[in-house]
Amino acid sequence: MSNPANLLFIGLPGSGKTTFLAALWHVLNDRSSATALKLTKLSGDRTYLNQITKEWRECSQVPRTNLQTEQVVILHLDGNGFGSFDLSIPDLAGEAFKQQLTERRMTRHHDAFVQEATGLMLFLHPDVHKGTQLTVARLLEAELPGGHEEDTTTASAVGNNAWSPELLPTQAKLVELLQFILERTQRKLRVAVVVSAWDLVDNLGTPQEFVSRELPLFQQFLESNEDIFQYSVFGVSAQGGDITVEAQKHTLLGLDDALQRIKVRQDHQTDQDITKPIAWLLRGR
Amino acid sequence: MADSVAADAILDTTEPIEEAEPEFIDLFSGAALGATDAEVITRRSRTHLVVFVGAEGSGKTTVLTSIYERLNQGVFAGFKFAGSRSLSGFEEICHLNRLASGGTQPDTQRTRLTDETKFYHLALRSTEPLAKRRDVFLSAMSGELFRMAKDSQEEAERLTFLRRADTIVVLVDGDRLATPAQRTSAQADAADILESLLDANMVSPNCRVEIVFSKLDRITAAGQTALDFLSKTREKFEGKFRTRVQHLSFRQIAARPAPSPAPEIMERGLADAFVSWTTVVPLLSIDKHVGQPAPARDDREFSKFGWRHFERTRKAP
Repeated sequence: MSNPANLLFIGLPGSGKTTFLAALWHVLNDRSSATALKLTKLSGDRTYLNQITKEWRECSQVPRTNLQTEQVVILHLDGNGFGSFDLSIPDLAGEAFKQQLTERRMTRHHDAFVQEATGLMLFLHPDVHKGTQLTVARLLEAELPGGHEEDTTTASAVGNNAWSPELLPTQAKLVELLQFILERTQRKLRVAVVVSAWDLVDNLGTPQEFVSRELPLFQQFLESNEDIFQYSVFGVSAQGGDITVEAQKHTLLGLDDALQRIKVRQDHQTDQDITKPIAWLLRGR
Repeated sequence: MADSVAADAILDTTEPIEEAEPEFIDLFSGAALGATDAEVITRRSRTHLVVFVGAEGSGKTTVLTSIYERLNQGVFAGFKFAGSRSLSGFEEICHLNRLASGGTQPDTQRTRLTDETKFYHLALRSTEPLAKRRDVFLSAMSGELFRMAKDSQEEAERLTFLRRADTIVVLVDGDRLATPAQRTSAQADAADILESLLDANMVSPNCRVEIVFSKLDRITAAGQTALDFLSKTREKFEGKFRTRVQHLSFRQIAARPAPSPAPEIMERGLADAFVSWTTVVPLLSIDKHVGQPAPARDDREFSKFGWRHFERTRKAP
């Protein structure tokens, strides 16, 4: 293997890891668009990549990776300034990361990937769970048209839902997932934060602004650990729209070139180069 | 037949492998830390310990959760969040003030009387350019534990980890202070706790002690009489403790104020307080705890934690 690079995709279930991989394989295999990284050759068993990419091309839901279907994908790539190299990406199940949070343990199998990783791609879906405070909710209610402050003397006061790790807000979960990895690696890493399904929030500012606004604790964590890792935030729309809405799916299938479904945004720049976050990670090697 | 046996043999040897439990690596628990876990961090870097003491319901946990909730919203008191070993612990004590709890009114989980002190960890970095990362431990001691300490010098002496504290925040329950029938008891409870700890030699000469009148919004809402009593309480504490505590200060806060016409003033109060609590007091040249015997082997872990800290830091300039 020449000049190997190992990236680790991390993220909770449904955060878009496998969809990204499917779109990436389509782009690399198609070879017709201008991308920072290009496929040099085909080799090895491509059954898994072909299977998830078929679903992507047909605008079907790309099946989520489960603990039994985890795969390691090897891509032979080349790029201006990078030379030829083999990129290894394990497609790990979001369920495994969820288990890390609830059971507070990591398989040795995953730990080996962590030890070898030269960069991390952290996926998050823009539909974040915020852990809203009751005090804030009450203020908002009062400010809404027709809203009123609840009568504190009669309302049932204390909630009955017991706390569990599943209730952790998204930003706390993301901080924890990164802390687990940083605890177990000696390398100074690059972290590409990928806000998936970016088409849902593209009109609300840049990806960096989205993270600052929606996940302020996570944003502070990213900013204050520059001595341990470098980060950049990308917005990636790998599907191109909501494929569960029939009209949108129809529009996407009607495009002349499936490549048009892809949008990648970094700061104010938007293009269709899905290899961009990977190229950014590899520049840190 | 021979083939069949061979096939069975292969099955026998492969089955246990298929059913074998995967090997796991334990990750840190994320819960509030005991003394042993806390020491992992104190070994790595100098940590700043802030301990909140006060009677039950005085607002210790509310202050602690409010600090975390403010960080959840963005930069707080000039600090950025840089990590935590007890993120789940923070989230758990915040739960009763979250929509996900199913409640309608904010509440705070009471600090439980436990054998071992719990520490909540925050790694922070100042927003100043080139600022270094700082580790801060926050600990809220159950009111019951301090009631026992108040009633018994023996109990107070068991709280030796307090000698390790850089800041001790004594909370005076503002709600009770605003209630005529309870205000004298609220005043006496706080004074007795601090006096017990001083008598038991639990407060380091380098420790900042801040007496904090909590729930300021309730005192203000109760009118001038309550505010006057607050002033008198402060005078009384000045007279009683100024000569015994080198770094004594006073403050009024509303960590989780009810909606008010000037919420920003209340918000600013907690931020100013946090800056004060996390500011290092210059070390004195003589530390009267130096040279004390090591705790016995069966002493509680947090007692050992306090002793170890002094062993390590006594040569500090």
